[in-house]
Amino acid sequence: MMSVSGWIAANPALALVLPLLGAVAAVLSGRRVQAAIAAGVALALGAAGAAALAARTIAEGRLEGGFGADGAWRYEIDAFAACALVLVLALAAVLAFVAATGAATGAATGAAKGAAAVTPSREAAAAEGAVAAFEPAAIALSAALAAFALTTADLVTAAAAVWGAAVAAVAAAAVARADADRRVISSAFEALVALCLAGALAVIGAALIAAATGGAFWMVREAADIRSPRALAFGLGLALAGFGAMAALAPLHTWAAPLVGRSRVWTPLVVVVAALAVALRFAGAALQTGDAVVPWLVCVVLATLGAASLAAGALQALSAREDARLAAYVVTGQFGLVALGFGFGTPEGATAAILHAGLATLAFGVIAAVWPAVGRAGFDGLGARAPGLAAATTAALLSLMGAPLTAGFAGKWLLAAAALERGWYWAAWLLAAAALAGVVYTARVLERIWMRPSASAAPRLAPSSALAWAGGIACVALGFDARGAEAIAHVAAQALLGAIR
Amino acid sequence: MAEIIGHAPFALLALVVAACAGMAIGGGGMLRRALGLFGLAVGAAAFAAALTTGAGAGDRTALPVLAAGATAALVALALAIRAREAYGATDTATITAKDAADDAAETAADAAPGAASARSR
Repeated sequence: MMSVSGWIAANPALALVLPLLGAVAAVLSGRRVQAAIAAGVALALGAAGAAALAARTIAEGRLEGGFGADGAWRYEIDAFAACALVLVLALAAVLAFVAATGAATGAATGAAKGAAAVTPSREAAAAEGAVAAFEPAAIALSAALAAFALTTADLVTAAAAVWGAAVAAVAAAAVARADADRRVISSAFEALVALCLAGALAVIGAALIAAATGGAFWMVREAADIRSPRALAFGLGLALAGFGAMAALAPLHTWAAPLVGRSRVWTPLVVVVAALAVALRFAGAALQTGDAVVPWLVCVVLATLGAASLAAGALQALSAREDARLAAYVVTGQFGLVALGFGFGTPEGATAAILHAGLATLAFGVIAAVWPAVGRAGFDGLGARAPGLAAATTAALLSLMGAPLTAGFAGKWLLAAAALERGWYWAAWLLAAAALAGVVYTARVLERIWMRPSASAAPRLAPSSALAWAGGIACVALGFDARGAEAIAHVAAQALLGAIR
Repeated sequence: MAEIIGHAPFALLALVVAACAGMAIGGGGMLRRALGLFGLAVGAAAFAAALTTGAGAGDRTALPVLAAGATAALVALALAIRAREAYGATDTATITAKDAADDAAETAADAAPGAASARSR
């Protein structure tokens, strides 16, 4: 009998349908825990299927096809898109399981700390019923739209799907905590405005690219195939700026920290990863166009966004006074590194960037899974009240820092090597400076985890705890041998960049 | 580039999109800003349809854009209604002032003896 993953590998549309079914099941269940588990299981199945799809694309190359009348939805899935699909769906599955316990912890936090909560009765009502089911449903919907963006062959639809995923993620964050802290409403509104502007930029940029290439952007290999190089360059600039804003890259990242800081939910991370992956798909295709200016422009835009993100993320993380805001700044810095690496415009840089993106997503997934246990006391005394989760958090933090014998070391090492090989010494110095800043803020958090007394009782074990432990072990295991992950990243980079040398 | 966007409808569309973006970003009430988001969605969808018609995709590309943007405007509207309930107002200045007061109250609560570390908010 064919397994679910094999089924998805044979029918790529199921990678989208399963998260959508999870969203519907979550809404129908009407209770927080059941909704979260329904969404989480559907997303986990989707991630397993996407992994099978990735294996198929690695073995067979790009998959193309269409569904609907006259192939209205055309998909185009290469190894990179399939790997990004695995990351997005797995991350969303973790966030759905976290939603089973995380929001209840968060609701207690805001009300207890004197922020203006609406009413206790509203909070109690929100713990169950349609509102409670909305957060996991929105996570599943956001992941489904992100998956659509990663697999569709249509440029404008891809941009619109990332825009839709961003809206769902913001709505999920707002619903999770708006009853406990009214400031979540205003920060969600501001984030929504910023993401809509970014979405409009991405859509218009994608439409310009389509017009400039006669709708054949993915296939352009000769400068002669481009109707208007200027329109293509302008469209790429707009699209990359829009996707960069949705991926929380500086200087367009200002929506992320207030939203994550106040709502204390990690749902926007799904959009960040998806937007960055779609941006890299666009950039990869642009680098192969054979035009004299377009590849250069793409490298400049990505390197600028990446360097700004790396610097801003490190500086803001050093001065952050809240755990959730610190996490948002670290996300900006880490994914900025990915944009910078891809901006080198070389296969080595792309391989390192993709590897780093995967390993950073793994580490962020671990921290997101630990988040319900962090609770009101924050990281203070986490080692005393939940040593296993504290150990997993430590492994993830050290991995993000790039410490040797953790997963993150391989990605950063390769990025530094790619910068030196490209001759961009300033990038290597910037990477070293950001790594030093990372040592400082990581050490601060580790001191709070292991050397401070716990201010609250041990957390309840949740499904997300097991995921955190598994992720923590993976962070260490990949630190000893990341050759498998590096090989996958290399294939994904080849799929993106083709025959570029 | 002129052959693609160098004629009047695109200039007009660009103006509409810019005006709606300004309305969404600018101060004033959240309802007006939500309306700006809706206009932005319509403008972006029209732009996408106009640009891709020649590329073979046509108005099919406008629908997902319109769906995403209109959903965003609806979410913004829902947030504006919740803001009226929670803040008693929807104008940006009042909400910003009340947020600042909440921040100050939270900082004071953190500074009180026995409170959890301010950094762990």
